[in-house]
Amino acid sequence: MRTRLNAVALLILPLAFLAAFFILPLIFAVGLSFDFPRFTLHHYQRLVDVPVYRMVYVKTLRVGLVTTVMCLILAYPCAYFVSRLKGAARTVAIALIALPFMLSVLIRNYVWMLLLQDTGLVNRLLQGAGLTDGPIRLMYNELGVTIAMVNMLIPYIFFPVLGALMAIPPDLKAASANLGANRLRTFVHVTLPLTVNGVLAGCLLTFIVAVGFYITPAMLGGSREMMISNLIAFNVREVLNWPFAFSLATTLLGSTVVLYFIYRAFVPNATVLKAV
Amino acid sequence: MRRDPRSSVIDVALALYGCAVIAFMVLPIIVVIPMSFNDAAAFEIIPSNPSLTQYARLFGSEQWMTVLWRSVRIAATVMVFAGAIGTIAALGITLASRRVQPLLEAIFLAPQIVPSIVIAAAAYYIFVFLGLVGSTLGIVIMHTLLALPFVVVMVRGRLQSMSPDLAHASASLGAGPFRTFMHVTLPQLRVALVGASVLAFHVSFDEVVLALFLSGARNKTLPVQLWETILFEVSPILPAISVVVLALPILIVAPVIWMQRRAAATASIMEPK
Repeated sequence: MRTRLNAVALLILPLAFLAAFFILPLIFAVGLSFDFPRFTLHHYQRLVDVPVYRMVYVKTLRVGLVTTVMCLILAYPCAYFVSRLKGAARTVAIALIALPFMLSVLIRNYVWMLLLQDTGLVNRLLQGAGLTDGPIRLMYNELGVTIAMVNMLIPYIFFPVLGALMAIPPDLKAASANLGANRLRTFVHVTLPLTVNGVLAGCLLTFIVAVGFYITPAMLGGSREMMISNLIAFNVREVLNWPFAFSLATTLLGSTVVLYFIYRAFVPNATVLKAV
Repeated sequence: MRRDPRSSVIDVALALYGCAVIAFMVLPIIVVIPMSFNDAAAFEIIPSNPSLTQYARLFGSEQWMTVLWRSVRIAATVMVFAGAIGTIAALGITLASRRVQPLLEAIFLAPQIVPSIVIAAAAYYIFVFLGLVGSTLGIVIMHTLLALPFVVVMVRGRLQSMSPDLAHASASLGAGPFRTFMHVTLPQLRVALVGASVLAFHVSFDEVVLALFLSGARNKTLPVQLWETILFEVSPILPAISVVVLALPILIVAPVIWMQRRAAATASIMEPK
């Protein structure tokens, strides 16, 4: 009983801090989106009725999905490769994947702007190789946004998958080989099923983070490539339409929370697999 | 073990693919470092006349030095606040009943899951009433909120791996909970706390969305100033700033890794083999 009291005493301050500056503001925001203390769905109606806003939602979902799939395609084989490295080589590879986290988010986006602009390195290389005559538009469109987002989100899939791969006891693969399975069969029947939870957890996390991106679409997308976050910022800072901004925020918040709970449901399974 | 020739082809292909992905990941860092040595006239990926002009301009610019110093001050304050509140929260969660622990964890992780823009819009609305928009205090509060999950996760991870025997021994020798915490628990948390503090510093130092909404015109942080420079002018000074911003966390992290290695070495000496 004493420890329970201690727990409450310790948690009062942190929970009060969270309540005052996180939970209450969010409740206010959700309330205002319904014109609290009155009640209306007017702002949500606008969201559905105005084609431009519908398009922003479709674009956000599309960019989120494409980014997640591309991250998986790039990160899974890379994690498989790294998991089979030994000693120092593995440490270096992991450090190199984690290193960009240390580089400022703004700088990473800025470097992609420099690389992808009309006179940027990528276009010069393409023209130098004679693949194109003029510059290809790689920026201020969805392509540029997606390239930069994939670059920033690969670690979110790489690390859960690497964790799942390293947790597979080597005996299992040896057993599979002894029983006559070739590498492909071993991969499909042993490795892949044991990493499915890592993949799902990583993909969900990537998608959750991706649909909330603000900086990358603002910098590499320009003013026409708005995602939900940019539309929220626009309504808060330029139009000063709070209730509408908060109705957008509420949809983003709601979908994030739902996906997060699904994600949490996967994680215990992943640890169970590790224990096997 | 028999080697299938097809097998080694797969291995080579896999290694090439893996290295290509790693190259894609480090590309931004590789590009930005040589660019920072451009001289005044040119703006090339690999400078033809390498010079330190841009660094001199950066360190000579009152505007950049003001925002850099302000960001360091804010991040240092956030580090202390988040470290204290996060440690208390982690201790509380560990003492709470097992049934509510997952819920508490979810609540304390939530600021990291909810998109920054949602938090920023909601906080902005409240801060207008509280008169906190345009103050560094407002930024410190919200950055502490964002850094809290990292501290809670790292300290809690350490608490879970610690044996409760030492604390029990301390209690049975007559030490109160506070003395036990200060003399038994806290020393064991040291490495986790240093790691968490570095992360908290980095979260604040690199944060742009909340700062963009809350800093106002007079209290711009370094990322806000960077954001405006990137979007509204082409400036050859930017890569030099990037390198400084990149180097700063590494300068902080290096001693931590060194400390952790030393702690690990000490632990392995102390453990019976």
